[in-house]
Parts: sequence; C-alpha cells; structure tokens
Amino acid sequence: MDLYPNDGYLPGIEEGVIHDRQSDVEDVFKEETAGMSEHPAELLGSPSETPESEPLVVMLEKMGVADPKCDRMPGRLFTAAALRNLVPGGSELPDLVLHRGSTAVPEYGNPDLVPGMYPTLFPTGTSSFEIPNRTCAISFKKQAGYYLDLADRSFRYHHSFLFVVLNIIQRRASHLQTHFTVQRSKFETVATKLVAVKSNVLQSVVDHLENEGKYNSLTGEQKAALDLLKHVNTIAARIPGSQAGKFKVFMRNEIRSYCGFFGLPHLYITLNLSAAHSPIFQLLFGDETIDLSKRFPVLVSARERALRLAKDPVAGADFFNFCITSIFRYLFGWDYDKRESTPSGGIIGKVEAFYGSSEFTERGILHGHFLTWLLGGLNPAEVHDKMCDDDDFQKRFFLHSSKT
Amino acid sequence: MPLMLTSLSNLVLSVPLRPQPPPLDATLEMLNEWESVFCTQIKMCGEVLQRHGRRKVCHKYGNDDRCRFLFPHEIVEASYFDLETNSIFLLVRDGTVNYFNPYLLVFCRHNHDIKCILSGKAAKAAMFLYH
Repeated sequence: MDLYPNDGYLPGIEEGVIHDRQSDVEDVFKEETAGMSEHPAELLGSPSETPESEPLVVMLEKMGVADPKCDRMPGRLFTAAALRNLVPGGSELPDLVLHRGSTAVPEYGNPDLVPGMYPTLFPTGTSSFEIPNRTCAISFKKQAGYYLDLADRSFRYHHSFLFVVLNIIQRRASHLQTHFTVQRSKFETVATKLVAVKSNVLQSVVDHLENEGKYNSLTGEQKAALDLLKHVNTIAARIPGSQAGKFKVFMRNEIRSYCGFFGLPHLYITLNLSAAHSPIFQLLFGDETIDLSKRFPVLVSARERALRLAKDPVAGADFFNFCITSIFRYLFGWDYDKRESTPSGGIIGKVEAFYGSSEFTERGILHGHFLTWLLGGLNPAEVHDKMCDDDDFQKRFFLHSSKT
Repeated sequence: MPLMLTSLSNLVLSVPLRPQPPPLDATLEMLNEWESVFCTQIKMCGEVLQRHGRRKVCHKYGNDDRCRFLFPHEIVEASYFDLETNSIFLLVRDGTVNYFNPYLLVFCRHNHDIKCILSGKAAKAAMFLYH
C-alpha cells in the first residue's frame, strides 16, 4: 500500500487503458444515452448558436477499459494496446479517473462536489451549488428546489440526487442550527461565563472526553467549562423528517400556542389524498392527454399510475400541495394572500385559523391532518351550556347535523 | 358535476341589468337535478372511498382484539344531547362509514375524515393523538 500515493489516481492506470479507435464517438454516445428527449449535452452543439461552423460537441473522446488487476482482459487486447502505445499521442490518461485522497472531500463551500458526484446531471460541470462570488447569491436549498422544478425532469428522475441533496440540507440544519437554552434566572451568569470560555479549552475537553479520559483528570479550567454546560440544554434544530421526536414536540408547542390564542379548535380534518388514482397527478406527471374538463377522464392502468408516482416523487408532493391549497382556497374560502377567510367563506363557514401537518403512511403516501378554528365557533363548554338552557339553540344545532 | 355548476353560474351571470324576475321554474328544475346527481355521487364516492372494510392494518401496533380506527362506529338514529353526561351525539347512519363532508367527498374524490370537536377530551385527543 505504501507504493500508492496518498492523493491522486492509481499509478500505472494509463497502462491499463485500451483505446477504441473503431467505434464512432457520436454513435456510441447516442446509443448509450438513447431516451425520449434530447440529452442535455446535445443542446451544447445546437446549430443556432454556431452557424456555418462545425457543431461544437463537448464529449469524452477516450474510451476503453481499465483493469488494474490485468486478469480480465484477453491477451490480444493487451498486445494491441501495447502496440498502440508505441505510437506517440497526447496524454494517455483516461478522461475520467477516480481519484483517491488522504482527506475527505469537503461538503461546505465546495462547488465541485455535486457536479463531481453527478456527471450525467451536470454534463458540463457548471451551474453548481454555492459558487463563490455568484452575481446573485442563491442558497443551497433554493437551488435544489429549482433543479427539481426544471422543465427537464432529469433531476427528478435521478435515482439518488433527491436523497443526497435532502441529506445535505438536513445535515446542514443540524450542524448550523443547533443552539443552547438556559433557565431565565441563570441566563446572565451563564452567558457571561460561556462567552469567556476559550475555544482551545473546549477543544481540549472534547479531545479528553473522546479519548475516554476521566472527569477527575481534567484541569480546573477544563472542569469549569464542562460544569457550565450542565446548566445549558443543547437544542437541536427542528429538522423535519429526521428527528421525528423533537419535531413533534415543537409542533405540539405550536398547537398549544394556537389554542392559547384562538381557543379550542372546532374541526379535526384528515385529508387522505391518493395521487396514484388522481387525474390531476397524471397531468402534473406530464401526461398531456388527460382532459380535466371531463367528469371521468381516461387514465392509464393502475400499474402504470403506480410506476409514475414512484418515478416522480416531486410531482407527488406537488400534487399533495396543490390539492391541499385548493381545498382551503376554494372549498373552505381561505385567502392565502391576506391570511384570512374570504368575506363569503366556504363550505364549513368562515375559517379563522388552521394548523396542518403532513405525514407519510408506512406505504409512503402523503396525508395531512388539520386542526381548524371557525370564526364565531363556540367552546365545547359553551355549546353544552347552551344545549341545556336553550331549546331553540339545540334545534338549530341539530338541524344542520342531521342533513345529509 | 363541475359542468352543472358552470352552467348554473352562467345563468346567474347572464341576468340582464334591469331587474327582471328570473325564470324560476327553470332554475328550480336545474337545482333539483343538481341535487339528485349530487346525492348519487355521494353514494358512489362514499362506497368507494369512505366505507371501512376490515383490513390487516386495523390490527397493527398490538391492537389485536379491536380495530385501531375504532370501527364500527355506534349507530345513532338521530342527533341528540344527553343532559346527564353533558355530551352531544351526532347522527351515524352506518357504522362502517368514515365521518365525511359531502362537498369535500364529491368535489375532491379522496378519502377523508372530519370530526367536530365537541368536548375537551376530543380536543385533547385531536391535539395530541396524531400530531
């Protein structure tokens, strides 16, 4: 192992490369990337941009096989390759070489990371995330969302891009948004002490604990720093999806605040949408043959619909979002811009406020739970009192509940 | 269904500016027809989307001896208020159908559940059970 350098590619790789000079680069490319739509790389050579000159094709031109162990290649290929190597040419390195390094590839401030991981999604290696000095700065999250909304759906259909990018976003949330809480009475003393602790002291405590050192063998300064942390709670960021427990606590507190402000909610609504059977989802997936003005639009088979949902989870989430907002906007009469009910309200009267959470079933189907407060709605205790005292109220109350 | 709605609203919009009595009979007939189509749709969608059949998922998480969604619901012939227990019972015609809103059911065509929170206990359950 010592023969291998710490950084760089495997030495001698160029000797294992066999150049294929018979196949035509463009033909092979077309064959390998055959698909329904144009490959993004082909757009580079669009004739409109380079009129009357040779189309500008940026492609990997060196093809061949590398076999470091040299035991899976027939002998004549070797001979041929050796003979070719007698002919002087440019660099004999393949175009794509997997490098190895002694340090991990940095995740922060590294514009090369994502294009490096996904050369098929970033065929030119440009338009990466977090490019320094970009004229208009754009956050990682926003750009990821933008890529998933592109008309070209390569990013949505990619089998791992979605997951890796979400994972990066969630990791960042946990790295950068962790903070401390402390009892109000101790805030002043703890805050001044905490700021005074030197970072190298903290680092030495961390090293000590990581190496399973004992508390008693710490120096006085180190002990003081560690003791200080006992008064402080570390609050991890609210990371939707990952730390379900903590996120749940956060939501419960929010609901409590809503109840403190608006009183008890009046309606509890669960909406269990089914993207796989909905004509609207088929349209969002890109099936332009769906006629939504028909009462019963013609759909593809249930199997095909399930495959579509699995292929395009972004359209599935868009469908969920679209349906929920439509229900609240058009059926419940909620004005999203003004954040209040429209003057005419909707099928459940006028909504004063609502709180919703989206969840996945164990089958991976999105559904939503909503607590809804109605304008002029009564507290259950008030309803019960009126039921006892006012026969007319009781009549009116049940008039609506018995209508079907 | 949406077609009927559009034709109805067109009719309302096309009423001339000078006040004139609307053609009552025609409107009424249309409304009646709409109502009857709507009722058929409620039944159709209800059977497909809201009826609760006994499934394996009912007995997940250790609910071996009962359905975890608490089906079937108890039949309530007519809505009433019970003075002694100080509680309100709403009409339940069919114990295996999920509580629903007819407009939500017919216009959105998906399974849903809607519950009136009529007691402090129900409120707590709604606030903490699912969230």
